[in-house]
Order: sequence, then C-alpha cells, then structure tokens
Amino acid sequence: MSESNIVLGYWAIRGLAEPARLALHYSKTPFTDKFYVQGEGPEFSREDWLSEKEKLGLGKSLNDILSSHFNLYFDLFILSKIFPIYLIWSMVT
Amino acid sequence: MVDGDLKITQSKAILYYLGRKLNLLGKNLTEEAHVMMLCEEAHDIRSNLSGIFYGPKGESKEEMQKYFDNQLSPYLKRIDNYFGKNNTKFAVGDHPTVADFQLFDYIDASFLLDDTNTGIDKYPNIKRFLQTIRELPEIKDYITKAHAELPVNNKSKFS
Repeated sequence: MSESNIVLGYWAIRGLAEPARLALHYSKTPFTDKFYVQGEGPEFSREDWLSEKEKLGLGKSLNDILSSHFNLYFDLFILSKIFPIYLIWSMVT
Repeated sequence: MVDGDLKITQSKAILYYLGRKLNLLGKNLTEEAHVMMLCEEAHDIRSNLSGIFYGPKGESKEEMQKYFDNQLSPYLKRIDNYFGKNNTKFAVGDHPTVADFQLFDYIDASFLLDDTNTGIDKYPNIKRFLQTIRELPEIKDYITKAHAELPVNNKSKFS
C-alpha cells in the first residue's frame, strides 16, 4: 500500500469515529489519531473540534470566515454612522 | 479526516473512503451494496443512541432500559436475523469489511443501555459476531486497550 498521511480528527471518544479507527488499526495503516477535547461543565464547550471541522470538507474556507467578519464589521461601521444622523433627523422633524 | 490533499468530514463518507482505500468494501458491487446497507443500518442505531444518551432520558437507568427493550430491539432482531440467514463468517462474506467495524462498535454501544446485561442472550448471532470481531488478531489488542479506555460518548448536561 502507498504511504499514508491520514489524520483522523475527532473527539477523544468512540462516538462516530471508532469504526474508522478500527478499520485503520485492522489494516495496520499508520495514521494520526487527533483527539479534540470538550470543555468542562456546565457548558461542555464543543469549540475545540467544531472550529477545526469548519476548515475541512463542507466547512467554511478561511476566505469565507474572513469575509463574513469583514461584512459584519463593515455593517456595524455603516450603522454607527447612519444611526446618529437618524436620531438627529428624528428630533428635528 | 485529512489524507494528503483530501479533506473530508462526515463519518460515513470517511468510512467508505477508507473502505475503498484499504480494500474493506467487499469484493464486488453486490458485496459493496450490502456493506453500505449494513453501515447505514448501524448508523441508524447510533443516531438513536445519541438521541437518548444526550437527552434527558440519559439520566435514568429505567428510561434507558425501556428504550433498549422497546426501540432498539427491532434493529437488533433484524440484524440478528440477517446474520442467521446469511451465515457468513463476517457481516458480508468471509472477509472483514468496514461494515464489521461499524456494526461492532455501534451494536456494542447499544448494549450500554441494557442494565440487565442479559439482553445480548436474545441475539445469539449478534453475540457470536461481536466475539468474532473482538478476537480478530489484528485488533484484539487495540480493542482491549485504547478502545476500551475511550468513553463512548461526550459529556452533556444530562450525563
């Protein structure tokens, strides 16, 4: 078999990843078992893995993430300019 | 999962990719169809489990037992019959496929709901199947060590 650079990223649980891990172990395929850790209670944050998942497959590209932030800040900037004008206008009319 | 330039998410897509790559997807199209059918069936079981493990009923042993007896038994019965009817060494044919690993892990997890620990006796073919996978020389050590130490589920406010 060709050389493998497989990285399997998932929570440090069996969850939905264990069948794939078993297949990799069974076939003696070298791979990196990358474990992500859930936050402590009461929130049990899932950010550690979910933010990483966003960068894979169906997730957002870095470009999408940057541009959505840009749009948000741009919108806030415009609002911050328009709202005072609206306030003044509403007082004088 | 990342494999060179390929970056994918979704557990079943990853499993089928690995199945093709590692020659664990059956030896012809018919076997492959059965492998996928069983993987989907097992995934349905796992989705049911997540619903109860991470929900309010996951707090109560009685609720979990009730769920095992009423909701999961039709799935287990179906799989037990399937094994009985086909009578092959592994889930599909006489060689391991990814369906074996998907069925093994998800069926094994479903017995966590069974507080009586005797539920397995109703499914002799499943019992034999789980034992066959546990004893595969290639993964025997992994199953008794790293696999056994990993929790099945994440923590939730109910667990």
